Parts: sequence; structure tokens; C-alpha cells
Amino acid sequence: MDFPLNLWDLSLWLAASSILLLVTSEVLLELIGRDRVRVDRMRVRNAGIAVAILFLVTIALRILEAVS
Amino acid sequence: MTPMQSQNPSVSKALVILPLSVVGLVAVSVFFYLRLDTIVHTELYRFELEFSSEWAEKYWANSWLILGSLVGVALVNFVSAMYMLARYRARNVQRPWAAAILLVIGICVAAACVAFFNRLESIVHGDLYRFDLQFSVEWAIPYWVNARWFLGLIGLLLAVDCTSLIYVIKIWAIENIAREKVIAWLLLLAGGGVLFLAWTYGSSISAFAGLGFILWGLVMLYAGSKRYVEESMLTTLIFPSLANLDRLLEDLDCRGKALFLPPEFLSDFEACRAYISVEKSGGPPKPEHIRGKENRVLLKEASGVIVEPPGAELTMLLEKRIGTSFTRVDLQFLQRELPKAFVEKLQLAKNLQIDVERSRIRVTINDFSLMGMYEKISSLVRVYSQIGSPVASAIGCALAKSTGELVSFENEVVSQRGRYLTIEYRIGSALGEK
Repeated sequence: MDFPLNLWDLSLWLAASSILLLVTSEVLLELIGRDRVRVDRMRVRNAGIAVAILFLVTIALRILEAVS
Repeated sequence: MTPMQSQNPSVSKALVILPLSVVGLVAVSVFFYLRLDTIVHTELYRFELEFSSEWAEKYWANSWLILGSLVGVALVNFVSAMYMLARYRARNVQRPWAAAILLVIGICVAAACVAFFNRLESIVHGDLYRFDLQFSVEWAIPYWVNARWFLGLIGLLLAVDCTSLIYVIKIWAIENIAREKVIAWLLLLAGGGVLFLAWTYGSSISAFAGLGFILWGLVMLYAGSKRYVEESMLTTLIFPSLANLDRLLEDLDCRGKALFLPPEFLSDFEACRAYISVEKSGGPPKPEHIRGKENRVLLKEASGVIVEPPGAELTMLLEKRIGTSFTRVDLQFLQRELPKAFVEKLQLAKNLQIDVERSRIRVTINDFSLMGMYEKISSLVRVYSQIGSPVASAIGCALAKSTGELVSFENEVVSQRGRYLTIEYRIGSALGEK
């Protein structure tokens, strides 16, 4: 039984997730002062950046795979 | 009887009875499963099924997984019931962490059991026909009846476990549970479940969904882990000290506007102090009259008082978040970095702008999150008009430190809709002008 996603799928998912997280962190800024937001937008942004770095790692892996 | 039992006896009993009833349900479901297993291993051979290790090994593996998971569910629920019983006897039911974790494990294992059973059914209703099995209602109806009973009992068992979990949360509701954390754990659980199913059935769409749930659960856990208190708590805590300051200014009949003192006036450069003269149009004090005496309140050499502004600690916090002392930076740096600290690091406002026009400085704060405190603070006429709110005095101190000049608080205005806060200061040489 294999995991149904390959590295390319994961790479795409990481890219989409990082964009979503970064957009969410910016949307949270709009909510400051209007509503009680209990999520730290800086941390959401950091998570977005971390996921984006993971995406770049998968790209690097793909490049290494293609070169070798 | 324990305090919790007397408060909510039905909850306390339920948390022992429900997990024990799950053990009973497991026993009955094992009975139906064994009957179903007997049909496969005896009846089906009468309908031309040929034995082969090819299907038998897969069947046995799933069969053992089903029985193992059922034993696991029973064990987990039994331990949970005993744990709650022990907690009641010890008169300690405040945070039944172990019971909650055990119940969640029980729910997950029961869900896994359903997945294993579905795989087993696909073997019986798929693979076995490749080994000459002939379909007949003679074996199929008893098989289906037992299978439905088995699945029905597992469903009931899951419902009972979920009810127990709700009761645990009900006990927990006495304490403050961060909703973000509950959501995060639910997302993680759902993600784990969906990912497991995706793995089992090889569904890539479910795998994406499961990974998404897990990612957002982790983000919620990480980003929602700070402690927050209600905005009104801040006003409640700071109001008495502000009221004392207001009474002090009233009794000493100080009428001047607060002058935030630059480091030149202080023996400790990092300290924040404000001078308030007795006279409304009193001139600025001299550094030598204040230096070394900044920890006093009353001054002999100058007709005024020295106070630690209400926002002194906020200035320190801003320095900490920016990563430098305001005594080491200039006004341009403050114009650039203070909005970042306010908006991004402390998340106190949507925007902050510092405009410098000759000797006047205007600070505009957009959508300030602590706007609610102004309703109460504005009733303290002296403090509000002479030294400003904690935010106004914090920015005043920052300006005095960075410019190295005396900064006078002029006024603080909240816009009618409460979305904008404007604070005005005067700086340096203009202080003598009217």
C-alpha cells in the first residue's frame, strides 16, 4: 500500500499552502481592532514562510534528481 | 461525595458508566464478528470456495487487526473508567487529561476497526469470487445480518465514546479552554483520520485534505498558543493607579501639561519620567533641578512634580520588541520602526503614523485594539488632559528619548466612530511659545 501522493504532488500542495498561510496572515491584519482575533498573525506568517522553504527544498530535490 | 459529584452528579457517573458500557458493546460485537468469521470459514466452502493462502493471509491479517483493535477499544475504555473512578475517590476531577486522551484513542481505534472491516468485506465480496466462490443468499443473508449487527454495534460504541468525550469537555468547561486549541486538536484528529483513510484506499484527494487539516491544526496550535485576556481586564487593572495619579494631581493642584523628560534630565538614561508643573503655563525645568532626584515626587527647586508616566513600561516593551534603546536612535528611526512594533509585533493597531511638522508631532493610530479603555480613562480629567493615556505617555517617552529634548503632551483625541486616535506633542524649543 503506497502513499497516494508523490514528491511533485507534495511540492504543489506546499506551494499552495504557503500562499494560503501568507494571505491569511495579511487578512488577519485587517481584523485587528475590529474583532477579537486570538491568532498571532506573525506566527501564521512565520508558518507560511516555513512551508514556502519546504516547498523550495522539494524543488531543490527535484533539481538534484534531474541533474544526477 | 466529591465537590464535582455534588455539582454535577450525572456527569460524574456517566464518565464511569459510559466507558464500561463500551466494554460490553465490544464483547457483543466480538460475538457477531466471530459468527461472521465462522460463516466464512465453514459455510463458504460448501459454495465451492477453494482455500488459498493468497486470500487467507490477507483475510487473517485483517481479521486479527479487527480483533486487536476491538480489544484495544475495550482496554482503553476500561482504563478510562477506572481512571475516572480513581479520580473521584481522590476528589480530583478538575482536568481529566488521561480520560480525554484515552477516549480519543478509543474513538480513533474504533474508526480504524471500521476501516479494517471494510477491507475484509472487499476480500469476501471481491477476492473470494476469484477462488470459485458461488454467490447464494443462503450464506450471504446470515453474513450480511452479522456484518450489519457488527457495524451497528461499532457505530453505537463510537457514539457512546463521543458522548463520554463531551462529558469530559463539560467538566473542563469550568476552566478556561482556548477555543483555538480545541479547534487545532480537532483538525489534527480529523486530518489523521482522513489521511489514514486516504492511505487505506489510495485516494490522493483525501490525502490532500488530510494533509491540509493537519497543517492547519499545527498552525492553529502554534499561532494560537499565546495567552490572551479580555480587553476590559486591562482597563480594570490600570484604572486604580491612574485614579490615584489623577487624585495626586488634583490635590497638588498641578495644572501644567506633562513634559516627558529626555535622558539629559535623568541619572538613569533608560528611565522614563514626566514633569508636571503646578502652573498651567509653567516653563520647562532645568536638568540640574531634576537629575538625581527623579525618583522623588515633589521638587523643591522647581514648582512641579515628577511622575513615572502610565505608559513607561509600554515604552520599555516597545524598546524590547524593536531591539534597541530609544536613547540610541533618532526621530526618523522612530517614525520608521514604531509603526512596525505597534502593528506587526504587538498587533495593537492596524496602522500608526508619526507626522513631524516643525516642532509639532502628531501621532495617528488607526483601529487601535484597546480603544475600549478610553471610555473609562476619559473620566479621569486630570490624567487624560495633562499626561494622556498609557499609550500617549509611552509614545511621549519614546519621543523624548529619541530626540533628546523635552516633549510636551498637548492633547489626545478619539474620533467619533472610535477608529482613529490622534495624539499631539510639542517638542524642544517651542515649549516656551504659546
